[in-house]
Amino acid sequence: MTTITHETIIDEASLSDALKPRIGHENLFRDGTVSASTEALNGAVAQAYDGLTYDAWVSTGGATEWVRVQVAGSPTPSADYMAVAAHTLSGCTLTPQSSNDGSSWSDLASAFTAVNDRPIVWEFAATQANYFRLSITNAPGAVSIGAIHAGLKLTMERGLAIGFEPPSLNEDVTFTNAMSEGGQILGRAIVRRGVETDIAANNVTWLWARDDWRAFLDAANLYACFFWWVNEGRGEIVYGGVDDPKAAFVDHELLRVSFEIKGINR
Amino acid sequence: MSWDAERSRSGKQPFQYVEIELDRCSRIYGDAFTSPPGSPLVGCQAQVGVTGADKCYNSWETCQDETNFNPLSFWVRFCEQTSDAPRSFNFDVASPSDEGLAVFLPLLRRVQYSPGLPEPGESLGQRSQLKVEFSDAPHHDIGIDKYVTERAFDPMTRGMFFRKLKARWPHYIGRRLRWYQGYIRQERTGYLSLPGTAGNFASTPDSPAVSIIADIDVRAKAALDDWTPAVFQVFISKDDVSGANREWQLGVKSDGAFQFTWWDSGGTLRQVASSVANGISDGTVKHVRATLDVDNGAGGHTVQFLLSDDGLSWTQLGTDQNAGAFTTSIRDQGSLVRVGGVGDSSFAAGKFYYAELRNGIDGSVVAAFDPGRASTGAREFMAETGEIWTVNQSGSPFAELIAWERPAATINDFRMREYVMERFEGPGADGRVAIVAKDVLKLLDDDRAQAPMKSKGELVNAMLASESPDAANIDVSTSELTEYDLTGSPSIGYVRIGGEVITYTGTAVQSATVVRLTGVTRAAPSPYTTEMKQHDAGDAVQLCVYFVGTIPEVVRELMVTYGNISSAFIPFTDWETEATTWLASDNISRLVTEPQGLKSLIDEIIQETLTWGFWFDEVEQEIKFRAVRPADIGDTVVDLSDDANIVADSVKLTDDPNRVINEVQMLYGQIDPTKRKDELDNYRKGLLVADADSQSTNEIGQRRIKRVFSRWNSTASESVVLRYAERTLASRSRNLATIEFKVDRKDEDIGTAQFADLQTLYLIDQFGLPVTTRMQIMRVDSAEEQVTYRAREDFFGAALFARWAPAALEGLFWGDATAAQREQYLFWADSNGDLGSLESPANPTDGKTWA
Repeated sequence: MTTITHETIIDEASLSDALKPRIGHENLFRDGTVSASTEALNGAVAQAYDGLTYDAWVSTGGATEWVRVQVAGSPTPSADYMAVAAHTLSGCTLTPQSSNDGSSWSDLASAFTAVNDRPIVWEFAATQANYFRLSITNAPGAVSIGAIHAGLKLTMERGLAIGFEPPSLNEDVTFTNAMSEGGQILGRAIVRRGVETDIAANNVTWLWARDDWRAFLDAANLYACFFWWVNEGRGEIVYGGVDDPKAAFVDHELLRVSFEIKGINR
Repeated sequence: MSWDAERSRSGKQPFQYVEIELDRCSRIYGDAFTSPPGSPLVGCQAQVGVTGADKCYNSWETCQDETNFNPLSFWVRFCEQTSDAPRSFNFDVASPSDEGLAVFLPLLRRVQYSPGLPEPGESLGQRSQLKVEFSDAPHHDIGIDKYVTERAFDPMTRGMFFRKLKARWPHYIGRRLRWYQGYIRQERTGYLSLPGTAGNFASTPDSPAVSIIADIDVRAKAALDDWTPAVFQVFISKDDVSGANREWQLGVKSDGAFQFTWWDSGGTLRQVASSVANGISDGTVKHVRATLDVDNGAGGHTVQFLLSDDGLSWTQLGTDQNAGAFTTSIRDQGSLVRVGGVGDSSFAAGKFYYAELRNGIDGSVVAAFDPGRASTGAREFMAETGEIWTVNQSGSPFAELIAWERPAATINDFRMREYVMERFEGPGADGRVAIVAKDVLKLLDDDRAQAPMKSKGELVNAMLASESPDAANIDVSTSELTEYDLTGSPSIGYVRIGGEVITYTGTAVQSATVVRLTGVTRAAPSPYTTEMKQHDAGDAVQLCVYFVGTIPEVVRELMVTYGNISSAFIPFTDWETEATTWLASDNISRLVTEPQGLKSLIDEIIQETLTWGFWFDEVEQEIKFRAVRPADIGDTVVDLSDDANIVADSVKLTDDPNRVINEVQMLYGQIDPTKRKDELDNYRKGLLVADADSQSTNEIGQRRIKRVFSRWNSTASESVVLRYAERTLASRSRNLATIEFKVDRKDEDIGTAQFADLQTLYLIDQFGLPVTTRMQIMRVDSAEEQVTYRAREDFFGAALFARWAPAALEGLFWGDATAAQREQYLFWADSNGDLGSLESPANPTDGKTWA
């Protein structure tokens, strides 16, 4: 049970394959029946999992709220990650939970208080359940979630290739600087902010590429996904759309896979 | 914060959004059938399977009950594709009566802005234009389609946003488009999490500022875990408990009542509780407050407890309370101010978002506990009021400060400009869409508006080239019987038949297709003359319009009556002040005998009068009017210099020799209004004024002639025409410099037609020294954070000028005039050269003597 944010990782030791990046493209919220504790006007819960970050589920302002999905299938679906982005959960205590009856809930990770609105990922042991939810307590007012995922993550078969540019250190920020004719500084403005980074892994196997990578591409063609990577107590999380996916043999049996992700990390 | 504050901040974060207007029906599909049985159907009478196969999209194009279509403005908002777009924004403030999407669609790629450019003395100039480029993308129709949940398909998988929008709302021409430029801020918020155990609270030391001994006002914003705690809990206090260091405290009792306790200057404990419990649900955030009025003016004191959801609007909890019928005080013993407890007990459990202490009820804030000013985990921070707050921690869990920031903005951070949509471009294969919009003066284009409007009538009977047989009446066959009706006073109308203008004084309907013009005189109104001619049955009978009035009066009538521009855009009082001050209320007049485009009509007025221009100020949403004039007394003239304002490498200096005029030939007093404008022999008077110096070989060495055929000036306007000619020469006989430069948004303090004193190394005197040059702004391109100005050297310069006072001040003596009047108006001396109040050499008063 690990909570991953840009600032901290809680229980990093329990992560397996910690240095391998993860992709959260599977989303049970998209496949099941979703409901929320409350819904503000124009804040329908469907907007939490429609893949669009500009609209969101919005609560009516209670201190305790939740968003949940009821899933069905045989075998019962599993999840080993939950993630949120484009949210306003700062100050809230968050706990991913599962249930088989919709009334008795088990924590999938320790309660965590969000200290900003940046994406959060929880990793936990694969859990089969009929319900998954994000429990929100101590909400300071109306809160919103623009993107929520739960499902089975894709762990890349190899670590990131040399040259990876950590998104948090390479934000796509455009500035203007103005200097006067006489040499005085007239001001500075941030024009645009976003994230765009290339992800690549070398020496993945044909089998992995054909099965796991292919499934990811199929989902990524339609929906945004989470990408995260941890390193020495800090997480790199991006929620965005995938561009330019490629897979190429680097020798007679291993491949290099890569893609570009454009999205948000704030 | 606001637009003005943000634009000057270094590190500012510009953000823009665009909203477009749709006419969306306010009704719900088929809502007429929800009327009670037997009552008349009210509302939409569409029915699936009867009026259509599926429900409409509340647009005219998809409407199935056009009779009951009831459009309201619905705004669709698009913002830039940045991750910092505010996640909640109150759009309703801008258009409280309209509907609209509650979120930004991040499809805006860029805004290309081409600002308006008046052409002083020539025409309305160029319209400002906006080209807004969007990306197209799938959309779920939530917020757009009222019946999205009832559709049998997933809108995300059908079409793209703009393609669907255009299919549903193809009639966008003339609808509004608003462009908002502004800033987003990173707004910090936070709270102090308290476990309710000993040693966990926040505190700040005693100081003279927080040592309040009289009226006091204490407030806190908190979410207690339990608003009826088993043990008394304190919100805020100045109470060390130990020794005599006890001053006051505000807390909540186990029954939910609030309690305020204080020790008076004699050390006596005073205590009151609210008459009712707080009634707040556990965990809910609430603003709580207590006030103590130590002397209520009736020999007593008053304590009030109050609650609020926003910290602005307060509701009293219960009734006024007191500890007895006496005035009171608060002692000053040097205690700490604490949030979440007192010295050794009453520790609160929950979250504290804010607390403050005010000296006096609604008095000044002397201490403000705001965790948003700190970072998560901080143990100490400085308040806005200057004191240091310390987070005291003990045991586990312990008091912990949690703070965060998020992009935020309010409508006050934005500046809005409004346009009308002209056309869509795309979507194309690249998935991009553009909307082109222009300012409202576009409505005056010659192909959109005319005065007079084309009449439909034709002569029923032929007319001879004399007044017989029936001089008094003319019968006109028309499909619109009211088109010749007379309005206003006196009731006189004019029609043109062929090349003849005829006057009439009334109308009388003769049949369903014939109206009679009565009181006919076969003559144009004085001073015009036209020739009586023979006309055949079936000849067109065109209604004429006779415009008479000041420039503001005539132009307003053209714009509002014939151009369909809302009078809300016309600041007519400002126009009149401008005309009265600078044009001496010059009257213009013209009989217009055939439909002419409004832009042409107004261009003529600009060309024939001392009108600098009419232009649309998109920010103020007003059509501005300016006379050819210098900066007035009281006008803001901004200083701009290389050092402080002008952006490096942005200056471009050019001359505009094509504008030079050193000879004005003016023909005025048109005779026959049905003839062409440029017929030389159709004017009663002419005037020629030349600037010999300018024409000499020492200066331009050429004649640059402006010939004006003035249809708007009558023979009575001789002095006006002369003034026009002289001022035109004064303003254009030199080759004046035009300069383009950029300033940062912080310096965008002047607009079109305003003045700036420019000091730049590009404008120097013969000795090579920079010379301050007064420039008049012609064009402002403020699409980017660096604003581009185009300005022209002001021919008046910064020299002094004088002007005639209004008639009401006739006879005013210098000695009796106010300072403002002396500054504004021209005074002259009597024959003795004295300006004294009695015009007497013996009483020179101010000592002003004509040299």
